[in-house]
Amino acid sequence: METQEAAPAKDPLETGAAPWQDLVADLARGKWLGDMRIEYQGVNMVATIEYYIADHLNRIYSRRANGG
Amino acid sequence: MADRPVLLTVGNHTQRSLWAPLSETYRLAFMDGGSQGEAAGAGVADVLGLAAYADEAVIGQARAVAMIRANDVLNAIADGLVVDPEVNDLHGAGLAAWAGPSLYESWAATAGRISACSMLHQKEGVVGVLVHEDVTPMGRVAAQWGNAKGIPTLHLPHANHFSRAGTKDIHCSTTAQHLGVAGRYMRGWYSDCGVAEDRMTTVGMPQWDKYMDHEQMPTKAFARHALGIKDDMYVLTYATTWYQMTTVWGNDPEAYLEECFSRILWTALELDAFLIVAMHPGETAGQEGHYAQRIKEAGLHGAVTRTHNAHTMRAADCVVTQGPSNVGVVASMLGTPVVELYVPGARYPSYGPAGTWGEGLAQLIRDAVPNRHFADAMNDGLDGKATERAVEWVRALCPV
Repeated sequence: METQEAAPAKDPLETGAAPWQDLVADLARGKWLGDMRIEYQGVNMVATIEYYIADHLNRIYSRRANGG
Repeated sequence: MADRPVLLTVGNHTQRSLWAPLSETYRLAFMDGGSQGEAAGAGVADVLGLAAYADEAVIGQARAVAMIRANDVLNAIADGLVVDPEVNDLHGAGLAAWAGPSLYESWAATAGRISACSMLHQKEGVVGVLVHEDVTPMGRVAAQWGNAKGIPTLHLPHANHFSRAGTKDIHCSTTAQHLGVAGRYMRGWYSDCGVAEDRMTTVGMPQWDKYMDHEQMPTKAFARHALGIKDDMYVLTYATTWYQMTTVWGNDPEAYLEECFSRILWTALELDAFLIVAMHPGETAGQEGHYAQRIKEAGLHGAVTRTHNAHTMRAADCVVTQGPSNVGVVASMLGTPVVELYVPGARYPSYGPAGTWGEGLAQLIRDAVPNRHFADAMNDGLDGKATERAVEWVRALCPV
């Protein structure tokens, strides 16, 4: 069976985070909505979707970085 | 018994051992319906479900709130709100196309949960909120709602996290007021993320208490017989992983993981090993068949399972984990050597298992030894009493 080279070109742990990571984190924490404050019964509704927005934006930027 | 106050909890199998002892003090109200059913089926008394407090009026109001809020965002996009002008999906029609429906669906569910929590509190009286994570919508809503109402919020993390602490990754942010940490590694990790020491109490990892019950754990010989493995075979267990895009890998995870599995097959051939694939529970349905087919094509003897961790870790001469993994901690608790096959962006601590991108993997496997020091750092004390400590921690912070 043929073996393949498993090591990626860059390891974020050693080379620093992917260049879009901080951008995505800031956007997911609400920056993408500018000054909009969306609350319901004292709960910050923007914070409740941070996980999904971070996931979605990371996919977009990762795909873009990989030429997709 | 019915006059006990309510502890609102998301649920999750990792906290199963807490339910019966906590029910002596509280009525448990579950956000997760599956956990509610499991607790009731296990005989936990007076189990409540949050869904019962979301009547038609609550659901209707939640949908209206979500519609209005999502529409506010769509209007802002129409008025020029731009996330990134260089990316098609992040401005104009491309942005509106996914943001509108996604926000409506997410916020309808979230607003419904918030109203149901308030209804539960009004009718039954909630004295505490317990979550196993506070980053996904359900856990974060629970923690935020409790904080907004002045009710103690407690986070008992369901796993050690191995991405680099102190980054902006979502897992480094905390919403619940109090953290029940598993050991000195987790305490240090959250400390590096900025969590104050006085918010943390070391309790251990309750779902791992069973692995410390030596009479209940299978012996190596029993585990091998249960999996149909001959006593004299070398056994390699490969613990797979999945990837969360909130943690950036920086390359194509699917292709990379497939390359890693090729390397595992090649290494198993080199070691003349029986190969057990212990799948991550988050992997997609049907992946079992893929692994089994590739094992067969490689001419190896093997087994594939998502469950039976005690058997798959105990039967092995060595466990290779794909990236740093809590299943590697389980193997270490059971005295089985562990080796790490790296993934980008996350790593065991320096005192943990040795690792490689692939080069020299077979030799690392041959050289690996059990590492109790690592297991103790991940699960304080290794005494099987984490459940006991966690229950006392909840009772101290959520007085009746």
